[in-house]
Amino acid sequence: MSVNYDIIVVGGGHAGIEAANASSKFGHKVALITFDLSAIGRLSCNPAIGGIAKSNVVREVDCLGGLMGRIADETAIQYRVLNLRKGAAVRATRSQNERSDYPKTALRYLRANPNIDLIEAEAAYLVFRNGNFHSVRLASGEHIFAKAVIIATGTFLGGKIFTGPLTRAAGRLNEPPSNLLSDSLNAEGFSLKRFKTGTPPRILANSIDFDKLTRQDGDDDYRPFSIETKTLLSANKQIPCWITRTNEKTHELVLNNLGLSPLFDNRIVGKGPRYCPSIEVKVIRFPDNPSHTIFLEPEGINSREFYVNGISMSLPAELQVEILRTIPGLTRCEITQWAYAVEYDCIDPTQLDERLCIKGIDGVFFAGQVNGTSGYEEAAGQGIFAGINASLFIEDRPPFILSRSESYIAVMLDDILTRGADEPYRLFTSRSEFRLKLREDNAIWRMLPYSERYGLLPQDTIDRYKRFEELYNYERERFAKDRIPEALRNLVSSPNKPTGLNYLKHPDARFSELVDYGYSSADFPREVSERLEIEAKYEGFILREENRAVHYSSMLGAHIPEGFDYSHVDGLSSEAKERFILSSPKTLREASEISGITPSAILALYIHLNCKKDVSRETSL
Amino acid sequence: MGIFDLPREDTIVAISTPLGRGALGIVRISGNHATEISSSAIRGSLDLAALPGGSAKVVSIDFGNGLTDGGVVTVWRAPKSYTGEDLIEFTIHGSPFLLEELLRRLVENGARAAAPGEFTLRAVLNGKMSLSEAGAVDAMIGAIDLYSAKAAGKALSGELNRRIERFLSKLEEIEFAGVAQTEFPEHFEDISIEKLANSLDSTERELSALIENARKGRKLAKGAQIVIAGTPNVGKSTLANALSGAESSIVHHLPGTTRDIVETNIRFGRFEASLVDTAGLRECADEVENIGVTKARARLFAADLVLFVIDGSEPFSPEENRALEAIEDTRRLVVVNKIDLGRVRRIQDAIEVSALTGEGLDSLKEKISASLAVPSEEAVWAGLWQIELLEAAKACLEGAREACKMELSDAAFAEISSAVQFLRESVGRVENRDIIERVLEGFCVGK
Repeated sequence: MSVNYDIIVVGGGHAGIEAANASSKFGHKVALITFDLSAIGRLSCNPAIGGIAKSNVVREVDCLGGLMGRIADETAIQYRVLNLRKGAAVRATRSQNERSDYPKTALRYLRANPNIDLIEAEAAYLVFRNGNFHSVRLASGEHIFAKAVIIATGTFLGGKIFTGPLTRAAGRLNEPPSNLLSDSLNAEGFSLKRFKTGTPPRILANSIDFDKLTRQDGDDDYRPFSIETKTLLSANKQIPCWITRTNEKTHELVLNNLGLSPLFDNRIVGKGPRYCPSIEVKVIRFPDNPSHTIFLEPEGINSREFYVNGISMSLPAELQVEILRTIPGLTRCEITQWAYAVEYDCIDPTQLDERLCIKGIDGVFFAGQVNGTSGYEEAAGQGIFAGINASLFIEDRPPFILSRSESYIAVMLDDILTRGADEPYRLFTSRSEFRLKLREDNAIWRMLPYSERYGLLPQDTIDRYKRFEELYNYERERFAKDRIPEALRNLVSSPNKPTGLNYLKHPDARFSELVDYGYSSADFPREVSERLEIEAKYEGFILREENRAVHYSSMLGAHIPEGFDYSHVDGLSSEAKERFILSSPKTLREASEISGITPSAILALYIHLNCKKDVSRETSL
Repeated sequence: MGIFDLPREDTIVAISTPLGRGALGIVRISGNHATEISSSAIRGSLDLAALPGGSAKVVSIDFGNGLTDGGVVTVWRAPKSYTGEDLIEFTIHGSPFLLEELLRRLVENGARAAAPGEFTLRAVLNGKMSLSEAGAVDAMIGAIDLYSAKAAGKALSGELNRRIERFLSKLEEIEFAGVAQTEFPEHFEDISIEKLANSLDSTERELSALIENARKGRKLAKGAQIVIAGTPNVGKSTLANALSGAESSIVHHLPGTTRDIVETNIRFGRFEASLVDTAGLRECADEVENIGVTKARARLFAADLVLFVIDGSEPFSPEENRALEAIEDTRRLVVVNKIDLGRVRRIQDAIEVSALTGEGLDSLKEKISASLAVPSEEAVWAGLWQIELLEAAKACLEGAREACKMELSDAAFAEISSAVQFLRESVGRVENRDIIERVLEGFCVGK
């Protein structure tokens, strides 16, 4: 083991994997420091990758040369296509994965990479010299030197886990926390806060009465996550999930024992995610809801375990069995791993700049759950972004910046960097004002220019997609001009011209018909024909989406008075307020040009400049 | 320098009554230092600062040039005043000279002469009224008749915002359901595209009606535009002169006499309207006349009511047909002129007149009044910026309907979200929380 590297990655989760892999593509020597090599890429919570908006990030990561999509495809045991009938823009892919194979596959990829050294150790301190990053000191006392470091510690900083009365220091079940590093960051003056999340129990497969459950099968017609994956998993080889529901007995048991939950005796102070509430929170916040859905997810093809999605909790172990056994199909279930809550330190992401580098100290990057997000995919997106930017930083090249209109990774970054995170942040399609443009199907076209610029994909892959792109551009032009055969024209209503593009706008249009009538060729790769089909439908709406974005730029002339008091502006993050005060912009246009200021901050300011709220409107003599 | 560049913290003063001789005149001063500055213009030992809001006192006013006169000061205290600041009104004898002298005196003592609209601007900035209400203040001041005053009054009382909010909340429900089913497909039933299209139909109709009423409110404020149009030499100018009772338009038997726009004000009962005489619509070689024709066409589009005049003694020309088709039924009255020539073509719903003899003019005037007499209960004044936002929202709903036809529910919901944003902006509301946050609060969801 050498001690001199270009880049150090602390943490081997989904952010760390992508950060190390991306850095290695620049030819940099990377050290990935983790407690336990066998835990690299461990799925801490459910054995599934993707989902709404998340699958889009997986594809963006994949098209930037990342690993998540490939590992997910290699270890998938089921695929589901969500929102299949709601349009291409909100369609999403989710896989169930073989829990034990996922980390093994991740480790295989990293080990095969000659630029990455894996170091099994505890990173204890960040060492700075003259205000710059210098080295990482391990708990063993050894120093690892590098020009930049990427902190991707997930839930391990100051991690504590809770099951009923038991509180243990841990980053994950039976894994030690990273307390020294947390203290070290605190000592440097970085502001840390506490977040909380939780995970449900796992149960024995042969203790489940499947005949009492509803079966949920996988889908045949899905697109794999990775552009490199060539074979599909046929539906008959996929393993089903199962659905059941909680009932009033379940809720009563939970309610009667709330006092035993660390959530209610002040042991947990961190804020948890609202989109993934524990059963304790569910019964309190939704008292009128007599039943909550439970998904039983297989942990693998040959695994004897099932993951009980929808019932995370931090109640005592013996009570967990009792609670589960109130649920149809689970009346004789045996728990193999207790549910627990985990509380951890994360940094306030508004301390980071647009590259995910901490402000004021060049060379220290943060990525993943430590930035206040949640989810494997969100972590991977930040990991690859930090990896690319750390690489560019040490090469003294301009940073890699994505805009909200071209990627979900950018939507997430812009959201957390400007607004901060009040609870663990998760992506949703509705967080994007350009959601019709940011689709799963076009991730490759959105990311291709960057992959080419930084050499993130193999050259032959880049060449292949550039050929497709040329073909698409040529065909698109032809489809906009050439008239379709008479027989197909009934699907184009006047005054629209009977062109290929207008034909494809109709919901009953089929690309295969255009081929059958000789208008288009059967030899087109699916990437091209599908793109023609989807773009034809969406281009009008995307244009409107973009025009509306312009609407907000037309009101930017409004003046901001000197010494304007930003503290009373509703809807501005404290970060945005600080930035405004520092730069004291004179107009909304100037305000909008301050780095890290979002359109919503500008709108909030605009409205505030025009009227105040909550004032007595009475006029009296 | 625009009104928004002005300082916000100083004290402003203005003469609030029209400059002209009247029995009384008012000078108004508003701001943090209104009390001290006012005191300097009052003789004697009155402690203005000790007066609570709501007092009025007879005082002796010191104009500072040896001149004094009696007057009344009325005191409002922040925030219970028009501007939300300390505000004092001097009511004095209504001589323009005295009013100017008092203004000068107060400026000498530290007040700044207010820019037009600045008192209302401060009221807006201090949360006393919304922007739309502020615009309505202007409209109320400018009210020319009962109907425009009523429309402005509604906006002033927040009626416009209430109507938008009522409509907005329906649309927000649709948006909410869309986000829920999209982000948590395993927890919510899909909304069928047919159902979505149906609910869009009714909301779009409501929005259209709202825009229509807002336009009516604006029209009322400035008076309706009645445009007289038709092909050359059908007697448009004769009719214009007959209706307005003035010889504003030159009348000649040669076609193409009127080349420019001739505008006169005319009253129909409680309405004020401007009557616009235009060049006859035809293609011709004369460039000047062509410019007139282009102008006439532009006026046609903007008109509240078009009196489309045809010559009853001549058959319909293709030009007439084209022109008529371009104007919606609700916006036009067909006037058959020259009935004195005896050869009348019967046209359904047309009003037959002779502009020359005056025959039928009374019934035409009645028809005009009836057409302009919009149900004034519905009309409400709106700022142009608000109408633009409402139009933008409407365009989004049209986009959403188009998306439904194409069976793209994602595009439909994207359009709906934008419509919601435009509508919120039109009532000066900015939502601090993402829609997703509200869904999370309302439902128990996961996975």
